[in-house]
Amino acid sequence: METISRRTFLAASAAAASSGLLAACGGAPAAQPAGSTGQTTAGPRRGGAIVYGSPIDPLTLDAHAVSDNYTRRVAYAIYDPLVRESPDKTEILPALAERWEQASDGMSWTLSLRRGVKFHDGTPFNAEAAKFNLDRQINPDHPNNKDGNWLFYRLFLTPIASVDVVDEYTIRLNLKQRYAPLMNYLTTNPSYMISPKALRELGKGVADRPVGTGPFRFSSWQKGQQLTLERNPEYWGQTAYADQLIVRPIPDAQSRLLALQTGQINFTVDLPPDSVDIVRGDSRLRVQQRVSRQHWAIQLSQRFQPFTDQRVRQAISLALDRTALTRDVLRGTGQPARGPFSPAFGEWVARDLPANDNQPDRARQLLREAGVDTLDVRFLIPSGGTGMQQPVPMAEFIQGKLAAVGIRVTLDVQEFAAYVQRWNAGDFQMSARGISSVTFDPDNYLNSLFNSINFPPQGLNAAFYRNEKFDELASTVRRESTPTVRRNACHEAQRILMNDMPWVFVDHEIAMWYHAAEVNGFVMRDNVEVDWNLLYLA
Amino acid sequence: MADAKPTVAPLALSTRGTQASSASVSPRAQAWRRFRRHPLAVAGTVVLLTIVALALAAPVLPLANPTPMELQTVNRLRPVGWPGYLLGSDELGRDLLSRLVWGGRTSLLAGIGAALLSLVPGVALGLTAGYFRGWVDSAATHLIDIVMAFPGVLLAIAIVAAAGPGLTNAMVAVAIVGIPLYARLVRGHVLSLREREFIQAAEALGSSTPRILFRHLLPNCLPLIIVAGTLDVGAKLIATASLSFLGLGTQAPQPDWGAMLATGRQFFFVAPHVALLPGLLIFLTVVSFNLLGEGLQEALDSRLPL
Amino acid sequence: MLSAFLLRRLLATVPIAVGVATIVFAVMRFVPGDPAALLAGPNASDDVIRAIRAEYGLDDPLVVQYVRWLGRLVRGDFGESIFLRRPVLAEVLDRFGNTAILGAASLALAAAGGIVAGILAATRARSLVDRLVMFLALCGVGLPVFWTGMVLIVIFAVQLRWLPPQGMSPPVRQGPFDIVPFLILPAVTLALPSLAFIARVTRMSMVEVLQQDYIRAARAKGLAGHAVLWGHALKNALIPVVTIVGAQAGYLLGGAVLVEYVFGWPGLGLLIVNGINSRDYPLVQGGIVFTAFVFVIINLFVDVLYTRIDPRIRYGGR
Repeated sequence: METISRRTFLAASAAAASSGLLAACGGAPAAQPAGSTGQTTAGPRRGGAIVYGSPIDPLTLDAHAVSDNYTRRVAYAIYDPLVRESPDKTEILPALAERWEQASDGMSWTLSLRRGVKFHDGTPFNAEAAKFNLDRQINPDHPNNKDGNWLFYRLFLTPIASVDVVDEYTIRLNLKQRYAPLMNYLTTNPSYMISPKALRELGKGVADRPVGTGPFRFSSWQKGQQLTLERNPEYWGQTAYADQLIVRPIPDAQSRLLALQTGQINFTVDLPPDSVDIVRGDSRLRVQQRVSRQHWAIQLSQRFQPFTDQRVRQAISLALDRTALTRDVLRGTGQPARGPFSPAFGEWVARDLPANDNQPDRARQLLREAGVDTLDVRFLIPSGGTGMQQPVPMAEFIQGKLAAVGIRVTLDVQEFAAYVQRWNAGDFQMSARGISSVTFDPDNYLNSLFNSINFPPQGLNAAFYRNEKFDELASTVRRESTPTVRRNACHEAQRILMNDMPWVFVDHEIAMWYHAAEVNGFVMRDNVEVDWNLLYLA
Repeated sequence: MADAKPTVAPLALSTRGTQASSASVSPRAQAWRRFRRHPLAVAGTVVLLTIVALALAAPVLPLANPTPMELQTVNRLRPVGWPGYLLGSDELGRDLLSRLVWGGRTSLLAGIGAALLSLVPGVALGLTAGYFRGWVDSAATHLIDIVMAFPGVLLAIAIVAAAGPGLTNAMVAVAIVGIPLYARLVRGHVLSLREREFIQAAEALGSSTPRILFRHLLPNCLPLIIVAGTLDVGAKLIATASLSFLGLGTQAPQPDWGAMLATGRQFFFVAPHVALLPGLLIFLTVVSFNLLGEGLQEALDSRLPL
Repeated sequence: MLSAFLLRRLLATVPIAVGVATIVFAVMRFVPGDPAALLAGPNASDDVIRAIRAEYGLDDPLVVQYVRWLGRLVRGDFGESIFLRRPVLAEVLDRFGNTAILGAASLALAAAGGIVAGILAATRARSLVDRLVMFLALCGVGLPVFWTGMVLIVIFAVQLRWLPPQGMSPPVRQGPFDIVPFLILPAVTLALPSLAFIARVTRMSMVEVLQQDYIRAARAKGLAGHAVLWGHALKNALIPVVTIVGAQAGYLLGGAVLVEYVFGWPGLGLLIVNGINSRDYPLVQGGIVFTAFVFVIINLFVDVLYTRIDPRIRYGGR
């Protein structure tokens, strides 16, 4: 067994033991991460409804078609992935797959599946079902392949060449290339399991009538108004404490705050930074916070003349005042960033990165050395959107700081969808984006954002950054299995990145969750998912 | 079909002033005398003139920069009366008084501009349709009916959404939607004028068509147009502010009452004045325009038909 | 006589309906950005985008798209919403129900409140009450609904906690009338400008009628004041009011957009605004066309009502 999988398996066993359950060996109820947290006091109570005020209506409930975090969070109540991330450690835990093993040549992985699991429609979950689900996204001849464009699959799991059924509860994933972060990416929605029967009968229709294995099953959905899910009494893990999980889309942040204050919802995210203190001061409400994996960064296009000069890029970073920005504009809901990786990435973060912050004199000097007297630049930002924090006030703040060193910035504020389209095409001089990794593995940021094989329109290297040394290190992180080799390559890649500064990293969002005091059992994860089944009212 | 804009209201603080006036007084003086009889109209005009004067004088007033490059974010969301910030500050520490005055320029410009942009083509359309009648009239009437088949705000929203957000686009969208209002009004009036002797006389004397349109018909429509236009500015101001409120109008960092209100809404609990003040100013301005319009209605003795 | 009029009036709505459809189509084609690319989501491959363009017929010449669109409208096919993955008409009808509830409640409030206030002022013409009511009405006409809504929410939902601040129903439904508390604030917000407007029209109309000869004659014949007021004056005074109320129904349909936005009321207006933000072409097109059609029908209805209550009106040739 490879080092990673053994380590994660041991961790999984430990987590299971701590929650008072034995690690599953057969059809027994399985380890549910963080099951222990809700059980400290009188014990969880059954009943009631968790009412989640979501910033958007789920775009789809077809797990494989999900391509945004808000929707994934809701889909996670209905579906289980093959494996999941631990809520508070950077490790992989079993879910529908109990054990996994990488072949010695690294070109395939064998997964042992959990037994006795049934989909909400009674269909048994087994190796055939798992293959049917993965093939839907891999194989163009699969009857349901044309149901969607499988964005997350294409982003994260394209190295999978094929899926073999070894026996009723074992599958083998054959790879096109060595792919160290495979299990990390299998925590995301392409590995959520949908009932093959439902897929055959409904096709695309599962987007509106989802059938999974998760702790909640579909009840009703009035789009734009309310999605109602009800407890799955036959859940293989900890059955949900709440009778219902109700998702109400409330796009306006201020309205979400009002709804929370007046008890219309009892669980929500993304309130205006200024209202955090209001929630804190309200004895009926609770706030939980944790540094997220997100980073908010300025992209300096390498296709725009003066930005090709490294001194100009450095000057922009030095002109900013990240402390004032996070303190005043973000009201403490962000923390200054030095690189792409927030502290949530633990050992992957290179510790010796320079701050490059709040030195306007040095910024002016660098600009002089680069021969830049005045510079006019258009700054593309959205009016709002997923992970963007407070784009307009932040951009206005940056506009002021850059003006002080002689760079005149014109804001180009676009509605989010239009902005995303231009950003993804690399159609800007300077832009800003808040991006959150789907995994704690560094592969996601290093390769999709900065590897020169990922220039737009195929990839997200929207600043058109190219450094061969960096590319090599990023590829090492992708292919090598040995943790120390990957870690060293990752650290070295960060140093190169911070020296080249194609992106100016500004802050890491502090993820804030807000809920009514009577909601218990909530444990924040670093990613977007919530263990809905563990929430209870008391 | 009746007019669908509630703000273009026939105002009736008193019954129609149809007192015979002495021949020695000029019509203008008579109008002024009738206007003065309505204290509310006068009060509204004074308020309005103050707001307009402030907005016009913004560049020479001793105000802070409404869009400073170097932001004092430490002083954000200060309350009214904070030292150095007479009316407090916004979410980026910008002086609220200054932004309200400068924002007034934008909002007033939007309201007045949109009203003019509907007035001019609307009047032209109404004049030609009413004068030429026949196919010109029926084509114009159909066009008017079609545009009026849309609830105004909605069509404006659709136009801005299509053309892209921005102050100019918002103004044009709101203006397009308002054109039929004037066209109908003027067409109706012209149809009745056309039968009158002085027009028939002018035609008989061989006056050119432009001359009849602009020398005879237009001046006779003017009182009506002035009253309708004044009342309409309020409606247009609210309409453009609505678009800004939805994020489809003025874009940051330019101040505008509607946009300021939308942003201030996010801070309503910590600093209610940031949203309340621009709303109050919109309200005051619109009411003042309506009062002025009402006074003019009396003064010019030119009541809008229902 | 009336049915002939009705028929002609109905026929006249056909070119208007076609015109409405044409304008909406023309407007929506100005939208910048490639809808297919937005549809496919970020990082979609060119193949996927091409497939979507083909599926939605976005590659065809405009004329072809236009004719196809008109043909579908005639068959009641408003297309399929991109983001909601269901027929636009079904979604629009669902949401229109919610808007209709809000609009009907507001219209009832505005009509009842406005007529009562208007009569109150007219019967005491030139008194302090009259001036006060008319001044308040004048202010009401100038209220920006997005501001009023915000203020009402803060007072009644946040401070007093009497009413919910947003939404249309509690998460767990308790019968069809559980929406009433949710309805009050948005309905009042939307009604206020119309209420003020109707009050002014009623007052003016009443004052004029009360000055007319036949009322004076009735008074001279010794009919008591109240009998005159209710028996003759009101009936005649309300004729223009009915037209105005009808027109307000249309105004409320448009004004509801902002109120729905502020209160998160899941109506047609909110659907359209959200559709604009997500660039859901078919949804926005269908929603606006549908609203305009409803508006046309309301106007038709008002016209017919008008002939019923006003014996003086006989519709002949134009």
